[in-house]
Amino acid sequence: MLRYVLRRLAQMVVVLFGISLLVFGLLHLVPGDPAALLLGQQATAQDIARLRHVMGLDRPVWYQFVQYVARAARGDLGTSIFLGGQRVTALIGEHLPATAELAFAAMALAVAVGVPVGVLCAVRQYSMVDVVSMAVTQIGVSMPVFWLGMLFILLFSLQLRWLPTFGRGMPLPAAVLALLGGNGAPLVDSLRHLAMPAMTLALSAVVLITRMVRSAMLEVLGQDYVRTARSKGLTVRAVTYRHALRNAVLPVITIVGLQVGALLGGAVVTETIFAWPGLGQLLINAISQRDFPVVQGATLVIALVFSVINLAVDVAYAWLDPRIHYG
Amino acid sequence: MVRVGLDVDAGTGDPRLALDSSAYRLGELVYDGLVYLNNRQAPQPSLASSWDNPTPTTWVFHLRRGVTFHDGQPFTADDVVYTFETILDPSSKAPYRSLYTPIVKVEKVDAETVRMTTSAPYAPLLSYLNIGIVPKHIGEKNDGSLASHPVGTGPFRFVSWDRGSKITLEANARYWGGAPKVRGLVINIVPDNSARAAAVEAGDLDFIHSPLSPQDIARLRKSSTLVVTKMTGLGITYLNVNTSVWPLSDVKVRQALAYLTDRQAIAADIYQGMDQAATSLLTPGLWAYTNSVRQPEYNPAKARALLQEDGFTLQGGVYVKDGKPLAIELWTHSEDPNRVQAVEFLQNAWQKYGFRVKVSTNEWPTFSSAVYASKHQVALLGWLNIVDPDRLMFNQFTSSGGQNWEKYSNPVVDALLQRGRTTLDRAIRAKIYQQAAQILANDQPYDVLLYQGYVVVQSAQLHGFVPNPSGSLKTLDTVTLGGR
Repeated sequence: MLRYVLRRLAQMVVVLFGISLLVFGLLHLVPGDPAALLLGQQATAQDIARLRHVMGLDRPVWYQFVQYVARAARGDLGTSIFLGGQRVTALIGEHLPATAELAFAAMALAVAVGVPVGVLCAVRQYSMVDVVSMAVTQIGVSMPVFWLGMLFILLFSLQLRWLPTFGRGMPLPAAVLALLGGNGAPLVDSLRHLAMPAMTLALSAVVLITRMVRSAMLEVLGQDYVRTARSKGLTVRAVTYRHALRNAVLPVITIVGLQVGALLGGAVVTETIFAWPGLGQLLINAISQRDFPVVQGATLVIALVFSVINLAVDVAYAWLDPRIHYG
Repeated sequence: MVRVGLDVDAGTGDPRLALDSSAYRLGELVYDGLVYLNNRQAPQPSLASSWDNPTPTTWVFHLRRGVTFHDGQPFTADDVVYTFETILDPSSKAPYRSLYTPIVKVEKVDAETVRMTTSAPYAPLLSYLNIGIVPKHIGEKNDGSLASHPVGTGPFRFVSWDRGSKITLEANARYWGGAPKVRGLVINIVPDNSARAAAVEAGDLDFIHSPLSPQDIARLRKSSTLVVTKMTGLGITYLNVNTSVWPLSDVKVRQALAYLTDRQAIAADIYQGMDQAATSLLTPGLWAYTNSVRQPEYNPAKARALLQEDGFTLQGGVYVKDGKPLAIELWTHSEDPNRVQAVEFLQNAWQKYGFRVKVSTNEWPTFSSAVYASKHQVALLGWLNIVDPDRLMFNQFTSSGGQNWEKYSNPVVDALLQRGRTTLDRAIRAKIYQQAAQILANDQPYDVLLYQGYVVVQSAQLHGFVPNPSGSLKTLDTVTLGGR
């Protein structure tokens, strides 16, 4: 197992290098010059040429890439071109926790809703519950996120006046610490801010998980060992949860892992609607401004997180299913 | 605390490097310029309490006494000299450096007096001296700290900055113009226009302003807890017409296009009256404005006559001359849905009358780099912050101008714009710009579509804010907030 993990970690280095090369190449291929964008419409061609020289953008692309890799290997991702010379590592450090908080909250919500509903639908296949759930998830998967977000704002903020329209409260870990210190107000505030973006983001994952659990359960419930278990006289409950769900859950874990990875890359639309200061917003702004160091740094970190989660999913497989061995 | 909502986070807290509108707004609140521009864009004393103009190329500024920066250090002539010298430094990253390059020398006469010398008389100078003065003692460390921790002399002192989320400012109790009446401001970054509108409607924000979507404004107007103010801003939306490639190198084709452009319909149907149909390059907010200068107005019959007179014949619904069809490309950028709608509207309108029109929309970096290189035929885009006619015309229409992307060249216009820039008498300047604008209205290198509107939505509890078409938030230093 250890050898397997080590081998995967070595592969990860190759993947990260490949992604850096790809992103670097793409950034230099697409039109749009950071120097020209930084100086705006009023700048003259001479000003732009001068700034390109100062920024080193007039050097050969391969030379810029080698420099970037050499610095990145030492943990230095450079400074942002647009955000007042801020260090890229500091910017990612500010935005990643917000994204992680939102992604994990959304995923927890999706699992909490999706797994029980999926099991229920499978156990009572073609019942009213199943038909209604499947119809609702079909609508959910077709609903654009920005529209759903605006509907939530209209309902929860403007009509009911329950939840704030935008922004993030105190970071959750800090709010929990405050609660332990006897002050629960920050946690309530944080959760109120988190509620709408998490629900918006969770929707597509709920749909995916519900449908995945339902079909995996249906497959498992038709297997011989389930019939054997039932004929031994075990209760429906025991068979469903102990025998069937445990076997049906494997593909669901893959989906959850991939979804968390995707959400950690930043849920751009949700972050924009609710003014959630996450990585998605940072990255989208950086792309539209051709802020090369931020785009490179952020994609590298996202790729790293994605690879680590993938590895964790594979390890979890072996742990959950004794039949799986990694040599 | 007054809760303000803006659409983007400020890129920097250093006013010399400000490019986006939020960096400008932050700069006006934390720093002071030598002058400030009132809501008619007339320069008023600020850190310069007075100035004189002993020769056409010399300006002497008498600085306000007893002013201190937020860190307690005194403001002196050295700070003024430092600010402008660093902007003019050839390696500077100041986006608006080209506005200041006519300045050849900035000298300290004594601690309270600064003299600026320009290479030739430079009429718009004062309009650009509202840029914030930065403290030399912090700036010269060159560690970029002003970008993330601004320190100025202005009415609000910087407290904290959560990147991408909010900037907190508190009232400067020792402000030379009188301490603000509110405790401070929280500038919240809410990128989505409709979400920002919903936030002010729900009472989570006290103040928002353009950009806003026309549909949201119509709804907010009905609210009894909000006050909506609409005025003409300082920006235009226009078509940049490349005059160097056929068929648009033919002035009659450009004029025909102008006759086929229904600006009223664009303003009413796409912008729902938020922006106003334009008549010329002279914007209504400025002293040079007159409604007697007019570009061709919507009149398809005149377009038809003009094209026929020019030798075009209609074949299968498309005009043709010398075997070549009247085909053009119309571009804009994809970030602004109203602009995308406008080019689709124009494509329909022009095709109906015999043009073959291909529309292409790209994201701003791709679009703008192609337009800057004059690879376009017709491009829809805008100019902002037109505080002086020189800013909209000199670099855009003089033959060697840095923003002459349309490749327009006319010695008469060159001479007029040069004169406009070097004549200090405003009444004479107005005449010069009106003359130039009339020639340009006929030649149509620009088809000015809209005068951009400026909208402020504020809580009815917020009193005393004077909206400025430039979008300036400076008068937030005089507001009071009822109930809090």
